[in-house]
Amino acid sequence: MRRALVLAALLLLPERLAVAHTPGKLLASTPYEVRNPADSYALFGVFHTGAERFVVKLAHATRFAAPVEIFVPHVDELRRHRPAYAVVGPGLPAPSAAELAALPAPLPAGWGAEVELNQVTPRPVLFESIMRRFYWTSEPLAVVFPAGPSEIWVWSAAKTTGKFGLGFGVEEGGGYLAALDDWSLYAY
Amino acid sequence: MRTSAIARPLLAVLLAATAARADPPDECATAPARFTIAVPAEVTVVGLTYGLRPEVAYRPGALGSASRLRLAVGVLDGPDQLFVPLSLGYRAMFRGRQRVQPAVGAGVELQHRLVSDYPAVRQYGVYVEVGVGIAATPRLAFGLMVAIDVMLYGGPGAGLGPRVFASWRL
Repeated sequence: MRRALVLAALLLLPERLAVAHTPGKLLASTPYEVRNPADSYALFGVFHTGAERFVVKLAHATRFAAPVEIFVPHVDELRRHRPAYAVVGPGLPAPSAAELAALPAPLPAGWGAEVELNQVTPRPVLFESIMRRFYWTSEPLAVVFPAGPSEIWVWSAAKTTGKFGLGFGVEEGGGYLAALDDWSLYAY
Repeated sequence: MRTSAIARPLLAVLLAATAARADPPDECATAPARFTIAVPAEVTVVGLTYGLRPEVAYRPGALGSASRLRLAVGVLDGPDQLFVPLSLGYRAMFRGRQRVQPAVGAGVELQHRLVSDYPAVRQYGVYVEVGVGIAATPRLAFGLMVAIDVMLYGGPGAGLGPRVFASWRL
């Protein structure tokens, strides 16, 4: 019943207003393969132990600049939850020694990394109007993805647990209805 | 597409109201009141919050008229925000002489969303509602409404809010 009502609400949305990020679910056990790297994605996952590493795999035909951002729900129990991410792959700049040490896994030979440790204080806040939720965000970082394969790694440096979202890409579309497949993950 | 998606439900409400017949005053099972107050308890499904959205409805027409003007202010709390919607709209309440009284409505809504470390978010849009009231006594009724809102300014998005209510005719 609830799904039908949410669907009805979304169908009433004017087409121009209905474009949104493509939702997806991140699992620590399986890398997330990005089909259309120019699209804008909002991928959600949960740190259950704090030791997980989430991997997103992309492949761009040409160099491609896109914002990348990580965020957590704006709820008290996640106030100290600050997942970090790194865009890694051939053709990316060499990380500093501190960034290299912070990575959750050794960097393959010839790979570079853009590292965001998500330590800005006070934490920036994001209001997302489609799902009507507030998040703490790392704020968007413009990353130039190299032509060819690259990956985004997400980890919890302080081993905190809880939900997070990873946003990246540019083109918004109508794939938001996929959020109905796992409504509680995206909405609550 | 954009215009018709919004206009269609609003038009349906207006047509339904036009078609509603005024009930003869002497046959009304409910008290002949101009004002009705209601205290709905609501859960918003998109952007989880829960709380109360008290409202007052005013009957501008003759006794038995289906038309009501509605003003509501809500205070709903959620895991990440405090939600304060302000609604002004039209509601048609049918079958005033019967125990089961369907209602439809539409109007405009201003939504405030507040968190402690960020400026208040204000969104403006429209809503439609449909529901049913069950008259328990000539003055007291209980019921269920479902409202869908579409915010057009201040951040687009659609919301859904089922609510149960108790209403009292003054």
